[in-house]
Amino acid sequence: METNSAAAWNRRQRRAVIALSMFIGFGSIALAARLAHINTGMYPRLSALRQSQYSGTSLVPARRGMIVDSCGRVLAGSRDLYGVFVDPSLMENLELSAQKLGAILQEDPGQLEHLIRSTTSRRFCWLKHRIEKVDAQAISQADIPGVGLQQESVRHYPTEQSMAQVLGIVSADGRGLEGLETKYDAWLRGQDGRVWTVHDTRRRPIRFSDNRQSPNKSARDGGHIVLTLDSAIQGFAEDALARQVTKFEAKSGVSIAMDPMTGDVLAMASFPSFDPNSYAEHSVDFRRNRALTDMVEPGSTFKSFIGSTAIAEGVVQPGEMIDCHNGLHVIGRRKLHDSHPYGMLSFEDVIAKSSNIAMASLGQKLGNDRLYQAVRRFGFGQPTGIGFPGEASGGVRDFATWTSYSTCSIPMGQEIAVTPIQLIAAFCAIANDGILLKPRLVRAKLSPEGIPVEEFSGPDPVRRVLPSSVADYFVRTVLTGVVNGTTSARNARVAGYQVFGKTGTAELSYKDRAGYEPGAYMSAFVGAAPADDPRIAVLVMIQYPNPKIGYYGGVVSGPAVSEILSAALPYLGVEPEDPAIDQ
Amino acid sequence: MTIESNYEPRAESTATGIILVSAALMGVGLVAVGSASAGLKAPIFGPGFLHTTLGRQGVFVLMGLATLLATAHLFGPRFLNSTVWRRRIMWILFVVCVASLVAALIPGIGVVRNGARRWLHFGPAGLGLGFQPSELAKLVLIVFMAMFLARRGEKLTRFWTGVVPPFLLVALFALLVGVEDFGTAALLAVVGAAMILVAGANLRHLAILALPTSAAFAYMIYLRPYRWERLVGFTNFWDDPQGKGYHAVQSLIGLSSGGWLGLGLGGSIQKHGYLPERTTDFVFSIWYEETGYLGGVAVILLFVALLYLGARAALAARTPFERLLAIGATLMVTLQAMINIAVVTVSVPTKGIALPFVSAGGSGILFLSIAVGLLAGVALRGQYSPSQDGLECAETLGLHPVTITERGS
Repeated sequence: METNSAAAWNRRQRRAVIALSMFIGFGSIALAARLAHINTGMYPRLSALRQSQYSGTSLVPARRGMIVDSCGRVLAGSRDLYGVFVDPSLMENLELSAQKLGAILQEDPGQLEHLIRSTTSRRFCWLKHRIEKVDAQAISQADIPGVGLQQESVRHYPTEQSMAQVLGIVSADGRGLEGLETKYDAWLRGQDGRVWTVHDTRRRPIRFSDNRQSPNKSARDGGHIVLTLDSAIQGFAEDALARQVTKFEAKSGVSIAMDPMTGDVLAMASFPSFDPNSYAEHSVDFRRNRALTDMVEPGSTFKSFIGSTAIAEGVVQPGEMIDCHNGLHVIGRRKLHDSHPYGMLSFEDVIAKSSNIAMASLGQKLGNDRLYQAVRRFGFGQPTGIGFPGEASGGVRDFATWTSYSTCSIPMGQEIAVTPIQLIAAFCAIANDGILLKPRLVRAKLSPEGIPVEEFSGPDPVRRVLPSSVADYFVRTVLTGVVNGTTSARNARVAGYQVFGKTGTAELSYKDRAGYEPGAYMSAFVGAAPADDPRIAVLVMIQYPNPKIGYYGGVVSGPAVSEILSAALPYLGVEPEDPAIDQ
Repeated sequence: MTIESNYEPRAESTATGIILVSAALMGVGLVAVGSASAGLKAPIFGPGFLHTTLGRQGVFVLMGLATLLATAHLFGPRFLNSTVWRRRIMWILFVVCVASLVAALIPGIGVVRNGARRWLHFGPAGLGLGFQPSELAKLVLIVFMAMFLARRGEKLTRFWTGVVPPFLLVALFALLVGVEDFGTAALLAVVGAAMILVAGANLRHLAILALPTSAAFAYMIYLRPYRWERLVGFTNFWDDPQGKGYHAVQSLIGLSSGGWLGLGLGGSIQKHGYLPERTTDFVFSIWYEETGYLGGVAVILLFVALLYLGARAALAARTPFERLLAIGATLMVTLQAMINIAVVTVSVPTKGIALPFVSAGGSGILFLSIAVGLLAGVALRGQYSPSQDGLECAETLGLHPVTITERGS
């Protein structure tokens, strides 16, 4: 009896054990089915969500090409630095994180914390740009939640202030903003690549992935450009310019060196300059490339262009005597003055001694028509086409507005505004046998691998502006005479080399209204050497020298031209032609 | 396994199977936790390894295996044999368990982790040692209930004097745990009820008791209103995938990206910050993401194997106490596993329940190892020759000699 009851009891227990086990067994089958359902029925929706959640693209930045000088010295390159950003929503302990970051970045933790707290974006805030790789590694190792690093290519200009206005600047996101960086932006920038990645919640890539709709794109680095500038000659030009500007307490200055035979610009300096590595700290005015944007009345330097035209047109013969009316001459209602009174001067002396009265009479002989054509022929009133953003065209008034006044003003370099590059390009036309060349800043484009893709060599003639014989006569006799004479132009002489050139002093008009500003002068000298075979032409133009110290072109700018030539000629390997020539 | 030869081969194979399956689950756990805790560049080995999640889990697994073997072969038999000794230990443990459950609820003593006050800390703070009293409660409940129910015998057919006292015992545990840990409370209640059923209670009586139980659970839900939202709103995870549905959606994304064969060990993407509690409650999702349906079903099959072996041990057990202990331990482990996987697959509302032996955590593995060690011990003794220590068993045998005759037939 008891055994039967016990057996029944036992069976009852066994049934319960089996039932419960089967219950859980069925449960596990249900779970396996549920898992299969997740893999099939729910898959499309979950897969789409997954893709949107952790698929992203990473930019593969293209490396911006270099700008090098004619000898291959790097003027603008790119450095791989890093930017630090945070995702405030992922930060766990803001105070501690700020302390850690502050120690690495050498910033005040309190300020970092404030920066993060005050950010308007809940998910993104830049902390610091341009940190070095060592610091980036330190941050990466610290593994602070919510902190990310972004590689950024930063433009670096090893020569700092040198050529700054020519090279220009690049924005933080790698676009050329000014100068050649803008002009050749497309070439230098290359094309950024893009890869699809799987990233974690801190948006750090875990691995690469692919996307059928838009495949990965590898980056194409930017090409390089080779300039015609030579940093050595640039250095001579900058040093001499800076010295004279400082000496004469002037406001600004420009110096340009050019190869008259090819139109290659060898140096182009503006003073004051700035450091493009930290351009935001400098006034925008410092960033202007004055060589291509300053517009001034050329003054007496213009006499070489009108004088040579007068010879070419036959209105005056070499050596012809011209009446200078003892320094005062009235034409119509206009009184003309010379700085020194002269009686009769030969044509050569008219140029050398820079007689306004004689030039005015030459202007009258030529007439407005031929004057205008000469001005245009020499390239004034239009950009030279050097290939630089924002090049000014100068100011040549519409011919219809020219009056008898103009007839006397133009030959002495008034009523017309020119840019320094126009001035030296026109001067080089005389030095280059009468042929005007297009000035050039870029010698070649190189592929990212450094293979020349496009080369610009040899002269790029615009037009003949003077017969060869007139140009030759001007170089060897007239302009050489200017330098060899007794005027302040003698300051431009160089020992061992025959320099030829022309001074120019002009009054500067008010910036905001009509009329000349008293005591405001532009002092220029444009010259070249050696006279037998001109290899380098130099223009130095200094604005607002202190007139109490001096303002004549030969006095202010002449010594700078001499200094640049005497350094550049041996550098270019030009043998001194005549040891007897001295300063 | 070097075991005395006086065990029956069938019993020995059951016990060995239980130990091997548990070890396999711990191995899976070590791999899954190791992978889930690996960051992008965190050094896995080197100084400080023992402070990493993987290093700690390695120590826990070694401790767990040692405990499992020691319980099955050394302490287990002694514990199962000596009724007096057993009773003393269990009363002490019962008091300790209830005291620690209460202590964990008291602010200042109990420590809050993940928004619930479920922890007690001990030892130097730097070691981060702590344990969840609810893990101890699972072990104490099954052993204490097995003892209690076995002694009640056929009285269980009665209601007030039969079923209600053990029911109140279960209710005590469930309520103490349930203040902070709804999921574990439910698990304790179900396992406790199952044990009462196996002990011989009437299904009708249990059904009647389901009424006050429901009321108690309703009160617990009332205590923490978020529980209601979780209970009824768990299927609406698509409504707010960035907020309330975040856990669910992230877990499902992990499962779906695992597919049939998985992304490969270490290949999980969800572990990179997307899936919360990736080494603990949701470790199955990471495991599945990396090993796919194949690996996921393999883990389920390991638990099914444990279920089968545990049920076999329970069926073959010599005494009601051992049978109840065996089925209690078996159900506790496998039911918890099923609930965890059901949570991970968003088949049931989200609950803080770990995957036994697999999820990272020390107290879980330790107490589970003791419970499963006892299960293996019961399995070993299933067909233990009574001549060896028949006298020691006499007391129990005298009460219920049924098991032997049953097996003989």
